[in-house]
Amino acid sequence: MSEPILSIRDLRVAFPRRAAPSVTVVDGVAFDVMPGEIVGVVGESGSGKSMTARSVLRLLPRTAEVQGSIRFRGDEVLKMSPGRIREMRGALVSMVFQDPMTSFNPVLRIGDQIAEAIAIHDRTGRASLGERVARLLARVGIADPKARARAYPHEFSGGMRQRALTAMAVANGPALLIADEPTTALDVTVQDQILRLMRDLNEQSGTAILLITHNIAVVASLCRRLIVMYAGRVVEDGPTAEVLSAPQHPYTWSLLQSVPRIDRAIGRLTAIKGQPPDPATPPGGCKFHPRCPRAERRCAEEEPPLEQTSASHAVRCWLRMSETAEAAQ
Amino acid sequence: MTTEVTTEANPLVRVASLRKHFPMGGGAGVGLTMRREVNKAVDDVSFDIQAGETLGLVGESGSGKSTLGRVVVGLLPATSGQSIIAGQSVAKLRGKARKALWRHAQMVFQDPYSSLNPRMTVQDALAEPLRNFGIARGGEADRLVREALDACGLGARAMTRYPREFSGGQRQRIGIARALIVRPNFIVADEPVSALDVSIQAQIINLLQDLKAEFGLTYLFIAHDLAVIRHVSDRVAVMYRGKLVETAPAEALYARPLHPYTQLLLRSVPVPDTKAEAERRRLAQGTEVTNPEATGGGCPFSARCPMAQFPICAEKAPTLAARSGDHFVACHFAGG
Repeated sequence: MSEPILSIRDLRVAFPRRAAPSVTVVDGVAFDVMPGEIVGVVGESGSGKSMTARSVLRLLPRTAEVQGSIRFRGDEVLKMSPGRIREMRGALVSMVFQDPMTSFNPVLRIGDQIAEAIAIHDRTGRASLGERVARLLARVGIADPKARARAYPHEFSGGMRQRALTAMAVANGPALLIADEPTTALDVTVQDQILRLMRDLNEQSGTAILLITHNIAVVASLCRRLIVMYAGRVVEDGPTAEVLSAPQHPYTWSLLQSVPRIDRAIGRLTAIKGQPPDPATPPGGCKFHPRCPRAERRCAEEEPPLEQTSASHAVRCWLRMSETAEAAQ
Repeated sequence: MTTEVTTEANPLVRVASLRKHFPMGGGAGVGLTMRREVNKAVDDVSFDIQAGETLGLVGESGSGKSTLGRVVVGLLPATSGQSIIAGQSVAKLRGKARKALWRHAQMVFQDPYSSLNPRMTVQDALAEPLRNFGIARGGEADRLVREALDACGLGARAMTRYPREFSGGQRQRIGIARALIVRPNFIVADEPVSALDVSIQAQIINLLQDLKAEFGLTYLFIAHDLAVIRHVSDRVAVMYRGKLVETAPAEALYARPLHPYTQLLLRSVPVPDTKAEAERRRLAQGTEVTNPEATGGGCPFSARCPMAQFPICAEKAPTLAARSGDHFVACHFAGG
């Protein structure tokens, strides 16, 4: 088996507070992304999913205290010099965010911004930059790319901006694309286009993708592997089909029960009681136990470890659900 | 409060040829001789809602669905057409009569934080409409506030606290309690769960359904999420660029969408099941619509429509017409 392109071990991100203990938002996260793999990370707000993603490109706020290890192709990202990080960003690993309006400079033409992104890492062919920009825009499905390259960000629709941003992100053929809620602000028809675009990029260029989202259906559409995060921790990690059809963590199961389905009528939704914990005052034991329908005494006292239940599936729960009772509904 | 018996001929809400046009940005270069462009946010929309029914209004951003919701209850004046609630025309009401209408028709917004005064305690925020409508004061008002909070799953402890002290889900409960406290029979809920975390969405959806059963409410439920709309609605109206393109009972609409736009919407949504999702993608192969440009006259969807025939679709705007029973479609060809 090949080496992982991205390997995260025991990642911990905390923010110091004045006159109070620091707040831990990512706590012991560990997973790998293999070359060409698409991995989805699902979680609610406060789960730590975006902070984990941003750590990979060292895009966290200055005050963040980061511990653990993030290796990209074997190199320790957390120990890289600022110069090395800049070389890596955009060329080897790039990122798209939820809101493409804030990712573009509003007073520069789209084409010039993409050209700049190329030129930073590749000083060889300045003359052919215009051609390359047009090819990239065409590749993400923007019609009349030469004329469109001269447009300003506000002249693009939300969907076109997200496509253009994706074009910029893949301009240098990165080995890993990190997409943080790339379709959350978009209409469903545009979301469908962006998902198709990411699937094509992966199939044609072998770009590995780390997709961060709150939408389980988007993961079902795009990712072979699904990681579920809750309160700063990975609680379940496995093949998407397996996690969705037979979730082993009660949180994953509850999450699936609480979403309305477009493909069939369902009865009353099974809501998860309460709300995600405040990172400043996390509960003891398993972080999900106050909301868990199955919690026992042990769950409140002792935090379970993330345990492999098969070669490809891991769960953090004392009472994990088997393919019996609840899991089968 | 009088409870009206409504029949098909006497719906609780009747919207007739409603229009809301906004002038488009008249910056430099717009002279007196130039015709000002208008944005037809709501363009000749008609529908009924029966008492006790939930009508789901679904559409993408810019479809005009939020504007329509506001015009229906009179928060925005209509350009033309009528919204009639419990037999009274919203536009014609002034002063006290208008206030009386808002006792019957309330709104729940996407972000209750922006609709709650940050300097008012929950108790004051909820007692305000009671005072405004002359319903109750003092101890009686306190009792009603406690009741409304309780119905929305919040304890009396919430009364002395401020909106910022609550999570998003709890704030939405406060927003719902504030709408509920005047005992309306009609609520327009505009994207009430779209700002909430997935696990909280289900709580609020269940709450809205429980309140409907308990208080006999009628909803116009506006959302962009097609799965949420399917789940909550008895009937669904699909809006595109200011017009309704299809209305049908929820089950019929999702089982057999007739308008090409509804079909596009439904096949664009991924499902949280890998087998069903693979099947959806297989069916959607080669159906990508890449040219979402606006058109002038004619059907607003014609430029994107795989079924469009020209010149008719570009020139003549189709009207909403019955295809079977209560399934209505605005298309020259669909389901014909």
